[in-house]
Amino acid sequence: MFEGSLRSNLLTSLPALALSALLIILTAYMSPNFLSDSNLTNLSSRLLPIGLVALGEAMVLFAGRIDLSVGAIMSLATAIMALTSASLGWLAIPLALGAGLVCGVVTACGVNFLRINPLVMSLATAAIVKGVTMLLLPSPGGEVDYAFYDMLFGAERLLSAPLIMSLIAFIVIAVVMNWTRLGRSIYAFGSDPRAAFANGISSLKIDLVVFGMSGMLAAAAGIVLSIRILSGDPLIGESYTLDAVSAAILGGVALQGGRGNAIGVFFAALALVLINNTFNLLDIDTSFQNIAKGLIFILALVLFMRGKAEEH
Amino acid sequence: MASLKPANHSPTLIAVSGLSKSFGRNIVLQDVSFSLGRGEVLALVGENGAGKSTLMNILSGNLSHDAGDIRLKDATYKPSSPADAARNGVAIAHQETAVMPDLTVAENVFFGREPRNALGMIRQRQLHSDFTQLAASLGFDLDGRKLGRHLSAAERQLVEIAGAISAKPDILILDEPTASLSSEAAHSVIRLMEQLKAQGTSIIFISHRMGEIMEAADRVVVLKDGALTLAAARGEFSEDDLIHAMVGRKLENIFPARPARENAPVRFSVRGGTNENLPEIGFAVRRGEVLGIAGLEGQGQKPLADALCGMAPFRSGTIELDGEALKLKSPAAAIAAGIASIPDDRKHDGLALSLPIRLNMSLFAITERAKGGFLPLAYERDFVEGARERFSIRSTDMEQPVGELSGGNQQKVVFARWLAHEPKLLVLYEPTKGVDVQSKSEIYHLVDELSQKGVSVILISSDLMELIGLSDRILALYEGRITGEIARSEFSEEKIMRYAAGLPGKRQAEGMEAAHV
Repeated sequence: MFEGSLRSNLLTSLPALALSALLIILTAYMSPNFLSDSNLTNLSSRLLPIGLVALGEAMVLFAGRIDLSVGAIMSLATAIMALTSASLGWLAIPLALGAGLVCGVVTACGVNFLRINPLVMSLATAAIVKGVTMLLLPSPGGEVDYAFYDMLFGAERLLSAPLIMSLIAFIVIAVVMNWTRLGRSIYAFGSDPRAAFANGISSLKIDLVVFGMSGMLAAAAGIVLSIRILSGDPLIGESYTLDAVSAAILGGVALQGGRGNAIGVFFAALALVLINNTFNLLDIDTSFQNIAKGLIFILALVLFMRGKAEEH
Repeated sequence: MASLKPANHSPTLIAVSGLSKSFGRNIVLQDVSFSLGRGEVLALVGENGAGKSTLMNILSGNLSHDAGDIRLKDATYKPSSPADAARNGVAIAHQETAVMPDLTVAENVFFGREPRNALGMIRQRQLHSDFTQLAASLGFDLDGRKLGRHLSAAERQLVEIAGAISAKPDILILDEPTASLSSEAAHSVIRLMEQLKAQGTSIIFISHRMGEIMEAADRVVVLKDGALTLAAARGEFSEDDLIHAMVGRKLENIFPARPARENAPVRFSVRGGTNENLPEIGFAVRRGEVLGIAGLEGQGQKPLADALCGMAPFRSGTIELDGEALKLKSPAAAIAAGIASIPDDRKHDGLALSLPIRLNMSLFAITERAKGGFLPLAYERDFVEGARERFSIRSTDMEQPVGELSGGNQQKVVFARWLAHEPKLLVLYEPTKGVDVQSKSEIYHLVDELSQKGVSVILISSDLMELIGLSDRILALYEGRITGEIARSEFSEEKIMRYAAGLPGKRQAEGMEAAHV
């Protein structure tokens, strides 16, 4: 099953796996609360949004692109949920997902037809999305039905609904990326777009798939957030853009495309959540948390760049 | 050979008529017509820049044509993409450019045609065992599990060919399939073409090698400056006809006549040079001497070239240039010492493909003359125009991106850059790889001209004709060591190959290193 490029690809997950294992042991040792059902449920409810948005970002990076609009899309999704879930009920969810998809398609079109650099194009999308969100919901508010909360976060146990949903999302994407022609063409495109084109790959299809998925997964992450805070917030997603890219890089995804694995991203997202959790348990100020996050990002980049250089 | 009967009467598979294509004002194909029957081999010949690649790219769906008509199996054929061409049974093996670095050999070969289970999931094990079978039937020595990024140029070429063949196309296009192969591997590719042809596959191949064209082609099409100058069937053309059609005149004196020069003082020497890839190497070059370095593929040529230009320096040993000890710790140090080196992989090491010819060419010339941080733009213009003239570079203008030029013209841009002023030592590594006959000859005369002025030249090449035609002395390289030395008066292909294979008189050869001259 793990033949060929997949084998070398899976190796990129090891550092993130090791890091999250280390963090689990450390935190469990330092804080007796860590293994309580309520803390584990709390952890997995934080893992789900970060995991979903990082997964979408990873898909874009596999294709050698980048998407900096994911945070803004998350905020938009919380606003849509807060404004429509009272009247539309569960239909608010496909509406928010659809909005995320549209944002992704806009970025894909700019990148593909107008040949705008993905970094710049997705920043532009982010600005537009943020503007629309501010129009819809100028300040935090609105209301999300408590029934959603009950369904998603109601039961406190080890295998809670958010954890199961995270696992499903990661497994599905890992299978698609590693065992289907679509996944292989995304990796191939990321590793060498010219060669991929010569081998019959359409860049439009790749862009639509990766940015579309990234937009939808970001919206899904926003939906989860809005259910957790039972309202909408036009700025809540902002910090998630860096978290998403960090998790992908820490998970072994190459910034220049073509390499990395959803499995690694899962453990990297877990590691980020654990780091946050540790900071909170140790009562460290959020300003220092932000500084630490930036440093972790740089560290991840340095670690993986070095690995790459040695191979050449 | 029995399989090479002329196939004049096979039914027409593809017919091209009046095909034209231009990029802006630059006409690259003009009214080209030819046809090809089922099970025939067509050799597409021409200098670099003649329009061969454009024609291949049109047939394989990478480019669309402006005018003219292609009929494939009696239907109009105008592929919109490589994928569309593949659906129509046309497969192309590119010149080592389309191997994906993060996929294994087997995954590259079966890309887009992977065996799948009922759920649409790729069956990895099946894929790799399919590959083992395919490689065995093709007689290719390839490890299916190796990643694309770890392959040599020759291996990448075989992956390309295997990939195109595994699609079981009606028409197989091979873009210079043998250019980067050793002569043995090249022969197996030619034999393979014969097999495929016997199975009814039509083949179009591009080649600069006269021998294989004469051996394998049922038909030839020669292009010059985008126009067709010769279309003939087997038996109707000779090597001379081909060359005449390619260059528009009889090409004499491909190589310059070089007077012997034996008593010039030593200009450059290496003693006991070692690094990870070079066990120990020593030699010396005289002023104005062209020192050829021969060897089979992968015997240390690349590490030697990299060490001489400072990319991968020697770890120990002494280097002297004009009697002064020298350390070549970086490319900058080599350039400062007066060593110019032309890399073999001009696309990766030498040129910025998306930048215009002007910027690529004037890099060294102009930065040296910068005054107070400002670049002398008027000087640049003169320099670039002069160089274009001197090296006869064919392009629309000097603002054209280098990536759009043919291989031969790209190489001339590299020469123009490095020869902005005269170096003391010129290191050439496969300087004419993928370069057409006319440009080759121009490059040879240029090297001769420089050596007459006292520039020492180290010519590392796998082209024996080139080594024999241009060198004053040849050293053979085997497993990173020098195993023999041959004086000009004793040059013969056989002698070079014997030394290069590590066969005779090893001890005697080692004794000659460094100490000689």
